[in-house]
Amino acid sequence: MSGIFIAIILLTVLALFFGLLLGFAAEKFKVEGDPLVDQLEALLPQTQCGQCGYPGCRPYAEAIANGDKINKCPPGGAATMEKLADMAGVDPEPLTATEEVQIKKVAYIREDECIGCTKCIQACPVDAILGTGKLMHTVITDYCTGCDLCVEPCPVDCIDMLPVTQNIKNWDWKLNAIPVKTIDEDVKC
Amino acid sequence: MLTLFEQIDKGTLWRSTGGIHPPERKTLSNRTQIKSLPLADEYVVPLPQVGESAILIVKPGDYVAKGAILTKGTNFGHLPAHAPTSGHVSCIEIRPGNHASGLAVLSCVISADGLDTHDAHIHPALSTNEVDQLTDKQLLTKIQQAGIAGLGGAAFPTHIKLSPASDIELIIINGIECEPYITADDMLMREKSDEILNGIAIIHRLLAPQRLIIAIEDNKPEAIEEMQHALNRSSLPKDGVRITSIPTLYPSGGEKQLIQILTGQEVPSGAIPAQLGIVVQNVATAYAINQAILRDFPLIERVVTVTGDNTQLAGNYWIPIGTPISHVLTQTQFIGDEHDKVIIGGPMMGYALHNDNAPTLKGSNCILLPASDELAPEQKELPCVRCGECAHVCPVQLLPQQLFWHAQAQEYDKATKFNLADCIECGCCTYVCPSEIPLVEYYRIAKSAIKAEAEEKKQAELAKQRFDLRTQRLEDEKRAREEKQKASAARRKSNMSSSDKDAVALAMARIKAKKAAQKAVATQDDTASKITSSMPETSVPADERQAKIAAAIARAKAKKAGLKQDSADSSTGNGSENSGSVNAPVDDKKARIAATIAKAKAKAKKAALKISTNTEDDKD
Amino acid sequence: MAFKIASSPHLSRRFQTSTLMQRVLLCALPGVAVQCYFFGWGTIIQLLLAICVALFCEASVLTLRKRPVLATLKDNSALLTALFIGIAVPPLAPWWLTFLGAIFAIIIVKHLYGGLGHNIFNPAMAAYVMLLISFPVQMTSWVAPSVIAGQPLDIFASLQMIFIGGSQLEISAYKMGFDGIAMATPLDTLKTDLAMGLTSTESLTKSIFSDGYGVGWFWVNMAYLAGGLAMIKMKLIRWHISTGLLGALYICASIGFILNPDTHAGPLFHLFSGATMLAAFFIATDPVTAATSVRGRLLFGALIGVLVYIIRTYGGYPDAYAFAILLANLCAPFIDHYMKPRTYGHRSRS
Repeated sequence: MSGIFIAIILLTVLALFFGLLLGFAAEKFKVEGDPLVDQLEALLPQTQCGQCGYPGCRPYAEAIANGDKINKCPPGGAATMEKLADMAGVDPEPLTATEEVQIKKVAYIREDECIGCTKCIQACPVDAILGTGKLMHTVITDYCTGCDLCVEPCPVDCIDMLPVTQNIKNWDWKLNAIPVKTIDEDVKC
Repeated sequence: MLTLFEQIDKGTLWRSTGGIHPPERKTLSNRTQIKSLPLADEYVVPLPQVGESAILIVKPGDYVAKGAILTKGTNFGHLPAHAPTSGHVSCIEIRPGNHASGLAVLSCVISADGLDTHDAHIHPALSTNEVDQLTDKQLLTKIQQAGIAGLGGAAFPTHIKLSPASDIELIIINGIECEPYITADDMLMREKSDEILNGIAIIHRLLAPQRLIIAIEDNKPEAIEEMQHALNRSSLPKDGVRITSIPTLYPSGGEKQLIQILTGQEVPSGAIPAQLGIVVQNVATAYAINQAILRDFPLIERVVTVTGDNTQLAGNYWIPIGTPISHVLTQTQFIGDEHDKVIIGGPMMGYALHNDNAPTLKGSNCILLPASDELAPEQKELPCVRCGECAHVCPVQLLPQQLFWHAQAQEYDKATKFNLADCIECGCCTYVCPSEIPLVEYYRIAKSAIKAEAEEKKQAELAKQRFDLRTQRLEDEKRAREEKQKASAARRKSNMSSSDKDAVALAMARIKAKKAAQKAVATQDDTASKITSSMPETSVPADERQAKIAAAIARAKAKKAGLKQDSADSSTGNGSENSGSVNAPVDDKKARIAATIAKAKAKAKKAALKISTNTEDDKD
Repeated sequence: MAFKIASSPHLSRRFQTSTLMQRVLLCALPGVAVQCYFFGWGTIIQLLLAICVALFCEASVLTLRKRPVLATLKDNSALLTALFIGIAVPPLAPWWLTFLGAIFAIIIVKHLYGGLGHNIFNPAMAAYVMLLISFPVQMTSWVAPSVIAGQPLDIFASLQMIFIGGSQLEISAYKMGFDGIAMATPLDTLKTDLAMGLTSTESLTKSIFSDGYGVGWFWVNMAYLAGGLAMIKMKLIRWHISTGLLGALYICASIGFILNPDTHAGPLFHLFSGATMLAAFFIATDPVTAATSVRGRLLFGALIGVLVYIIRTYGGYPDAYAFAILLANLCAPFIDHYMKPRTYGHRSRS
C-alpha cells in the first residue's frame, strides 16, 4: 500500500519540478515579439500595392502569419511566393493573379495631359508623386514601387507604367541577350 | 628583423598566390615608335556624369577648341570632359557606348574642323621653379580640371586618390602591364621617361611618402633602362625612390597583387590601399599629370596599343579620347569581318565590342584585333572535373569551382559566402579550365544579380519607410482635423447660448447650404474620385479649361467603363461594389443637400442651427 | 560594323580534359608494361576486355541520357576507368569479373550519379571493392610472377584460362602453393604468415620476397612511381595528394616498425608493395572524387595513407587502397568545407 503512495508522491513531486522547470524556461527563453511576421514582411516586395486585399505589405504579412494564403502577391511573383511558403511552412500554390513576366515598372505621367487633380498623389502609397492642385504632377521614379495604384484614379488617364530601362549601371552581364545587329549600315569600315 | 622599408630598399619581393603565364605576344606592337593617326571626321565624347552631377556647358552648333571644357560639375568627384580636337558640336545625343554591354550613352558629338586649334588655356610648359611655386591645392585643381582619371583601366578620378584622408607612406608607380599584347605603357616609358618622372615628382610632392617604388615587369628591359636613366636625371630624392623589376606573371599588375608582391601586405577586403598607407598610380597617369601641371593640357589623348593579327599596322598610337573605333580600324588597315572580335583592353580582361562606332575612352589602353584562329576558339562547355587548377591559379585564393556551382545554381547567398565579391575577374581560372567553362562570365552575372538584389532590398526598405511615414502623416492629419472640428463645435456651443449671435449663425448656415448646392452640381461629373478618395473634393476645375478637361475626363471614363465591364465578369464582388459606391454617396449627398436647403428656408432658428452643424460635419 | 561578342578572358590554355586524361593514360603505360612483363598476357587481355565493356557501357548510357556520345567518349575518362579496372583485377581472373566490374563502374558508380564530374566515388575503386566483396576467392588469386613460376602462360593459354577457366579446384590448389601459376600477393602472404605466428623477418625470407619487397611488385611500383613523377612534372596532377599519402603511410609504417619489428613490415616494404604507387599517383589523384584545395588535398592524401596502413595491419584484407580511397572520397566534401583557403584580404576563414 505504501508503495502506491510513494509512487504518487514521487510522481507529483516530479510533475511539479518539471512544471516549474518548463515555466521557468518559457519565461527565461521567451522570444520577443513575433519574428515570423517580420521575416515574412522582409520577403514581401514592399510595393504597398494592396493587390493582396490588405492595405500594405505589413498587414498581409500579419495575415499570412495568421493563416492566410501565400499566393496573393503578384508583384513578388512566383519567387516570392515560394519563399513565403518556405517561411510559413506551407505548400507553394500558384499565384491568384495571372502571372505576367516580372519586369520592374515605374509610373510615368504624361505631363502635358495632366490637369493637376491631385488624385494620384492621394493614391500613391509611398508619396512618390510630386505636385499640387491645378499644377502638373510628376513621379519621382527613384521612389516609385510600380504598384499601379495611381493609374486607376487618374481622370484623364495620363499615367503610364513603363518598364525600367537598362543602363550601364544596372546591366546584368547577360551577353547573350544583347541583340547583335548592325546599327549603321552606311558606315564604311 | 628588418623593417618593411629596409626590406623594400633591399629590393625584397614577396610571393603572390596563383597567377599564370599566358603567351605574351608583346613584340607585335613594341617594335615601332608611338605614332599618330590622321584626324577623324567626328569625335564622340561620352558624358556619363551629365544628368547626375554635372551640366553641359556647350550646345549644338558651338565652336570648341582642342582641350575646351564641355561639362561643369560642382561636387568633388567631378571630372570635366574636354573636346579632343577643335570643331563644332554637331549634336548631343545617345550614341553607342564603349562598354561590354554595348548600351548607348549620352554623348557630345564634335565634327572636327581639321585645324586642331588648341584652346587658349593651354600654355607653353612652365619651368620647374614655376611649378614649385604652385600650392598643393592649385596642383590638385589643375589635375581635376584636366580630367585625369586612372589610366590603368579603372578610370578612378586621380585628384581624389591624390588627396587621401590618411598619411601615405608608400607610393607605387605601376608600370607592370602584365596583360598579354598590350605595350602602351612600355612604349610610353621608353619614349617619355622624363615626362613620366616629372609627373611622379609631382605625385611625390603632393603625398610626401617615405618610399616610392616604380615597379616594372622584367620582360621590359628597355623600359627599365630608360626609366633608370630618367630617374638619375630627375630631381627626385635618390634614397627613397627606386625602380623594382618584378618577375613576369599575370596578373601581378593588379593593384592588390602588386601591393602583395612589393610589400607582403594584403589590402583588406572591401578597403582601399590608402588604408595601408599605400597609393598606386599608373605610369600613364603620371605622364598625364605632367601634361596637366606644366601646360594645363587636359587628358584628351592617350597611347593606345592597336594589335593582333587582324591589323596590318600593329603598334602604339596617340589616339584622341573620343575617336570612333571604326576610324582607328580603318586607319590601321583592319582586315577582319563581323565574325571576328574587336577587344577593348587585353585578351584576359578586355571586353569584346560589338559596335565599332563607339569611341575610345580614357581607360582604353588597347584595341586588340585577333584573327579568328589567334585566340582561343569558342569551345563547348564541358562538365567540371574538379581538377582544382582554377583554385591553384586564383590570385585571390578563391575557390572558383564552388563559386561556379553556386553561381550556376543561382544560389547567390552561398556564392557571397565564398567571397565572390573579392573576385577581380582576372580570368586566370577560365584560362586554365580544361573543361572550357566560362567561369568569369558566371561570376559577372552572379555579381550583377547580387548587386540588383541588394538594390531591390534597399528600394523595398525605402518604400516601406515612405509608406510608414505616409500612414503616420495621414493619421496625424485625421486626428488634427477631428480636434479642429471638436474645437469649433465647442465654440459654437458656447456661442449658441448668446441669442444675439443667432442671426449670424443663420446667415452662415444659408451661405454654407448655397455653397454646398453649388459644389454638388459641380462634382456631379466628377464621380470617379468618390470611389477611392475619402478626402473632400477641393479642386473645382477652372472655367476656361473646363471644356478641354471635361473631354479628357469623358475619354478616360469611357475607357475605364470599358475596362470595368471587362473585369466585372471576372471579379464580380469587386466590380459590383465599385459600381454601387459610384452612385450611392452622390445620391445620398444630393438628398441631404436638398433637405438642408428646404429646412434652411423654413427659417426655424434651432433647426437651422442644427442643420448648419450637420452640414459642416458632412462637408468638412 | 557589328562584331562578335564574348566574355573575357579571350585567351585559353587550350588544354582540355581529353588531353589531360590521354596524358595520364600514357604515363600509366610503363607501369602496365612492367606488370605485363611479370604477370603475363593476362593483364593485357583483362585490360582490353575492360576497355571494350566500359566504352560500350558509356556509349549506351550516353545514348539513353540523350547526351552527345562521340564528344563525351573523346574525353577519355571511361578509358581511364577501364584501365584501372583492368590492372586491378587478377590477370587470370575469369572474364565475367572484369565484365561486371566495368559495367558497375561506368553505369552505377559514374552515370547514375550524373556522369563525369558528378560521381562521389572513384568508379574503378568502387567496382574493385564490389568485386572483392562479392567474389573474394577469384579476386585474391593473383598470378605468380614469371620469375618464380618459370615460363609464363602464353597468350592462348591465358585466353583459355580467362574465358573458359580452369576448374575451381585447380585455382584453389594454385592459390595455396607457390609452384603453380596462381598464388597470393606478397601482402597477402605476409598477412597470412603473421596470422600463423611467424615474424615478419621470417616471412620475408620466402621466395616471393626474394628481392625484399615481393618479386615483380617492386618494379611495378617503381614504374608507376616514374609515371607519377612524370605527371607531376607535366602538371597533369599536383603533388599534394601523392605526397600526403606516401608521407602518412611512411610515417605510420615507421612508427609500427619501431614499436614492434616482429609483427610489422618496414616502411619501405609498405611503399613498394601492393598498389601503393598506382594508388598514390593515379587513383587517389582522380580530381573528381578528391578534395580540391591545397591543404585539403594534403589531408585527403594523408587520410588515405593512414587508412591503408590501418587496414593492411589490423584489417581483414591484405591490401586496402580501394577501401581507403572510397572512405576518403566520402570525406572529400567535408575536408573541402573546412580547408577553404584564406581569401586575399580576409583575416581568417569567414
